[in-house]
Amino acid sequence: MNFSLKKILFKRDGTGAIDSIWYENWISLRKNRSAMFGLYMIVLFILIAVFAPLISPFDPLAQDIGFRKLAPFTGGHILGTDDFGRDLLSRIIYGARISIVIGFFSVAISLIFGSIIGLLSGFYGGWFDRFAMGVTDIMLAFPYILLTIVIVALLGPTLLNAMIAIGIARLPQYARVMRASVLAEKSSEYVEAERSLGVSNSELIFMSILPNCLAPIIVQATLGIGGAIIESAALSFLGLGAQPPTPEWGLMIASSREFISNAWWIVTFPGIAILLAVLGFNLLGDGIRDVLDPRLKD
Amino acid sequence: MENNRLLDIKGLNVSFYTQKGVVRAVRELDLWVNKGETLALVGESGCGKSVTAASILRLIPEPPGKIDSGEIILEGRDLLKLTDKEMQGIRGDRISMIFQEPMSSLNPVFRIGDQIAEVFITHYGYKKKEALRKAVEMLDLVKIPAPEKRVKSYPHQLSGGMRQRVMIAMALSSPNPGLMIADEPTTALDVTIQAQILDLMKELQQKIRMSLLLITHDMGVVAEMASRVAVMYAGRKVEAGDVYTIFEKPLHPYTVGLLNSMPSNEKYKHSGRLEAIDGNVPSLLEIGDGCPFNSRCKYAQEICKKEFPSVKDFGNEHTVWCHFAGEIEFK
Repeated sequence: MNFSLKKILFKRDGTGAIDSIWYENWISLRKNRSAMFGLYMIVLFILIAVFAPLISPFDPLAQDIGFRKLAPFTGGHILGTDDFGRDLLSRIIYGARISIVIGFFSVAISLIFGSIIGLLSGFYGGWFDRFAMGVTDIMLAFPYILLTIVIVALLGPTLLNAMIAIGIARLPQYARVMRASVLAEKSSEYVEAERSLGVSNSELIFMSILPNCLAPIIVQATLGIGGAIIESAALSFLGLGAQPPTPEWGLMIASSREFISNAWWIVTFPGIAILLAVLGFNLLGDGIRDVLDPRLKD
Repeated sequence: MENNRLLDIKGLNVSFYTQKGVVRAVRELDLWVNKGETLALVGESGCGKSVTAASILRLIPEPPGKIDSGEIILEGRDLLKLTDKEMQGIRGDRISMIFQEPMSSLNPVFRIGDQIAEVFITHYGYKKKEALRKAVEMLDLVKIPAPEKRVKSYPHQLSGGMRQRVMIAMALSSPNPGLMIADEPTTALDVTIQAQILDLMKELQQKIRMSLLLITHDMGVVAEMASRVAVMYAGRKVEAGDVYTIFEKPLHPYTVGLLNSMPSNEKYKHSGRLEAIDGNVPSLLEIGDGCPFNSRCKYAQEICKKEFPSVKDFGNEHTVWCHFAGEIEFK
């Protein structure tokens, strides 16, 4: 898999050598064991999500009153069944789809809009900067989960709205990170040099400054996916995200918490699924940060 | 005489409005560059050379900087009166600039070929493929070995001298290079590379007949390159003239000091030590209306602290701003 990935991501020059900063980073990322473990876990989760209908042994929504709260490894249910007799493994497999989508979608919202706000306010400064950073300060002053709940309450409790709410609530952090790197890059010599060549502001922002600011924002986004998965689980747990009978991990925990004493598996396995998915993204995010931050290199 | 001038700066005043007060970085500067010639702008760090260069391209960060008054006339047009859009068309087209720091003046995430090609795409409307071919040509022009291979390099894969060549290639890529501003183009390079880069710039300048405004503090570079010299001190022009006059008959004590502080074989025979100008450049915040050099000048009198001298013309465009120029012989 690595070899073909290499071919796709990195163009070779005439001599066959691959010379790219990103390729060098990829090499050092590959040496980072925990990051690669995280990456493999993410790839595994994505594969599970994509091929959910093929690999799940049962229909995740099919109830069977005769087989309620079956213990693991009984009656062909590897992880047992829940309080409605639904196969737990199948529900967790389908839950991967939802969690992956939540993770990427909500991070995409905060990444795209947060980056644009950060780029513009860092580059132009002035009243837009003061206004945008004032708003982000106010948003950052709220307890994060409270802010998310307020936005969901305004939009209505659906899974899509939960994703939007998570995206909006996390947006200020991305704007801040982006603005900080733009401020650092803006005053560097190459920007002045490009300006002296008659490059317009918009080209400067998006073509030359943005690529130099990607490193910290990539780290932020990778770690953010894990965070978003947890938060959507929390929202679903509170009844503000996915609604029954959606096989969402947080919702599965919420609706089965009363059985923890007599059917521990119903609440435990979705929890482990959340744990592993978030761990994967966090390990990868930490690894990427180690690679991209030269101060952390040996 | 006047219409031979490509660039004519008249009465330029540039200030920085900082929290500590107003820093008058450039005061009443008159400067011109004739077509095809090299003017060296000489002075110590902080004397306003780079601010002058940035003013010509209108790249002074505003705020805190501001061009208070003056005219910067390029081929009959006052650059200070142009709109931002028009100015953008001049940058990289009629005027291009080489920066001091070759290590950081290239965008680290792009291949150098793409960065040079960008100039051809912006200013000529070339397609990507043609532009890349032109980039190879430009690298060849600045004598980078194996240019076809090098266009695919990233800046961090090149040495300082190579990067400076790439910067020169980018500056030369402009469609009608009338004026090139070189802000200490060789300061960050080691001596052998310095000579190569200077020779290269000289050769290219003759080849495409452009004017060069060379900003430097290195009198050796001046002697090598310039046809005329303007000496700046603490934001003011203190002496100007052709390069022979300045080196043979300097009439401002600061110019004399600069030349004395230059290492030369002859001087070593006598004393064996380099002569330095005592003291430091005064803070531009504390500078009064007198001659800016008075605090370091061995010959300073009361009048030097009170008023800035008026110009003294010694013929053949040799002008000096010193109360005692031509009256006392400065050693």
